[in-house]
Amino acid sequence: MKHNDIILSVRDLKVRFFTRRGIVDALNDITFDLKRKQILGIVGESGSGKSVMALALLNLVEKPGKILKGAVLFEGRDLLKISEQEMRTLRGGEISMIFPDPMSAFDPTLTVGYQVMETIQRHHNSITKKDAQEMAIELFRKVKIPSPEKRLDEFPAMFSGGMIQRVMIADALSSNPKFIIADNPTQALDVTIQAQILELINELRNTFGTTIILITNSLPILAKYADEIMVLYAGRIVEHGEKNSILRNPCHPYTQGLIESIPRVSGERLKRLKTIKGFSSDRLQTEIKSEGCIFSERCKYAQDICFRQSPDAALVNSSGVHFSKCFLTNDLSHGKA
Amino acid sequence: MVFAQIELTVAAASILGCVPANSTGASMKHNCILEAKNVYKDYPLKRKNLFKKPEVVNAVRGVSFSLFNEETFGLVGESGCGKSTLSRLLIMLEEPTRGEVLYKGKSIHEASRQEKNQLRKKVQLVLQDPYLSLPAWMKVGNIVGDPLNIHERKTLTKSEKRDKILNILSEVGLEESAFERYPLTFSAGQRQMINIARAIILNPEIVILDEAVSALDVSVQASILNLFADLRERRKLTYLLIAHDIGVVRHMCDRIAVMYLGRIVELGKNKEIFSNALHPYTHALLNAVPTIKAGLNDESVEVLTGEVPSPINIPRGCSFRSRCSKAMEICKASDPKWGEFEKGHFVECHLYT
Repeated sequence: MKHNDIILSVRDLKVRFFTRRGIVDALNDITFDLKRKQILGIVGESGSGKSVMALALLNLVEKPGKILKGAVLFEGRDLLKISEQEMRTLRGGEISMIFPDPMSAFDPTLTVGYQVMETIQRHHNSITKKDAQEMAIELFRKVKIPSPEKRLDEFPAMFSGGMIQRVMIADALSSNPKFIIADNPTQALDVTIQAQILELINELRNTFGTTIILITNSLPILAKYADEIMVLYAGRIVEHGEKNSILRNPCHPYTQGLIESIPRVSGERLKRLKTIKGFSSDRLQTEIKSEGCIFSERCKYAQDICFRQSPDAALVNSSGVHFSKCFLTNDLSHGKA
Repeated sequence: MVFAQIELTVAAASILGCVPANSTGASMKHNCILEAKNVYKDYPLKRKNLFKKPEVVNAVRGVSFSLFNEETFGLVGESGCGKSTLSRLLIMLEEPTRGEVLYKGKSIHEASRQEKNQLRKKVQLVLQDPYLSLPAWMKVGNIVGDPLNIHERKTLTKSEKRDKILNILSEVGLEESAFERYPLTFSAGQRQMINIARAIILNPEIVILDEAVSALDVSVQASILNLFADLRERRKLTYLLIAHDIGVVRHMCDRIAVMYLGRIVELGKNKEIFSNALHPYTHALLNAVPTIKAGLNDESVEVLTGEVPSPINIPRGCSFRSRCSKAMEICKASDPKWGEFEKGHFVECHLYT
């Protein structure tokens, strides 16, 4: 693998929130590389640190949170070390973000055209207003908004959920970014509209070669659109690897549990769904419990060692593209197809 | 013309009613407990022009179906198709513009105040958002016990009430200590358990689950769905499950109705809907659901183009025709008829008439 292929490389990232009730270990020991033109899917339950990860990659973690250590290397530059000035030109420039709730991401008192043109003008120096408008119309066309000239003058409230998400994507595209972080882009949408938006995001990668991090809580979505999948649990990567390997041969008990608990659309109708026992623990306590595997209390395979020692990432059957942080990785491998 | 339309739907209503179901020999189990008969709900908009009639949002447009005793009935459709309005009509939070709702064969609109109160005990609701649906300032015990304050204030002593609340809490899987705690200290899944406890404390017959699991993570969703299944078994409950997640509906429901723009366009048994879907919209809905298997095999998704049209002043003809891949001339010209394709499997589409 050429070094050049890697657009983003994260090393040992650690984020904590210092709240009045105690310290929350939001992200711990996050290390991964992301190749160009790939879609990396990040999945995990709410509170697992997915969104904090998106913010941390852009150095946007605010008080009471703090990035304690680690490096985020974007094309070789450490985003955590460069000046705020430089970071600002990168954000919304080479790196863009798509947020989960587009309705509240736009200012309801300004037309969407005005807001998209504002972004365009910010990232293209000395562009005239007329050119910016042309460009906005072009962008609207790219994301398949019908009659863009007309819709430019409308306010966010006049758009449906799917359409405003398209505007958001157009806005994110306005600076020709190399890298987009999409945080739950289809959260508020119906399945039919969700499929439209995901197809659009996939097209972006295919036509513009954009690298994308797709954050979601749905594995089936990633099965279709991601190249790589990363499973987060309580702020840690528990399994990471190539999509097919992860989904066909999940090795971490948590990933297995996630897959099994999805109600099936075809095949036999189960009497009861399989569940992961317990609820995700209160994150305030994860700080206190520093020993042992983070998932041990809910894990049905937990053994003595799991409560004493924290597992390292183990390579799944020498494939080289699939890691699982579990002592039992090789025993659980190929348990299921 | 308008009259003809109404007559048609009335005819459809009678097809759908409880009579044929009973006459098929399915005895006790198919007793009709709640029935909507050609129900309409319009919401007038603000008058824009003094000399014109105000525009109207047609939220529910002539829906008829019956809920059988001890079944789980699923209602699916995109947001804005009228699922929630329909559920509000069924539990008397809204009055229908036209049509009626029958509880055990008796119109709920003509019921006396007292009867209505009794009825409200029998039909309970679990809402979607586990955060907004619980008052943050009340202790869980008081939240769960609140329905008793309204309906059984005179019959229960304080200690009886407390016992009852504790029983219900343990039935849904919460610890006794939950009684004294505030909702803030619970996770989303546990909050939904509190919601369920509140809904079942009056021993209802029907529980309406309005997107009750859609805000939860899959692993938590699975345990809540199992809880619903346990309660159904133990308490002989009838569920009306409103959801947009096809997987959830398939897992839970005996019969399923697909709604589009205020009308039910297809209704049938679980197996029929999933193995032999008729309406193009049902097909589109089923195809749009991402699954791990389809994703891995890289099956192409047939993406439904466009969006749900505005429910204001819906034109005549089939309302799905603007997005339908099989739309024909006739779809524009006349309303499709609601008809029985096979026994118990109904569809409203010109392709099948």
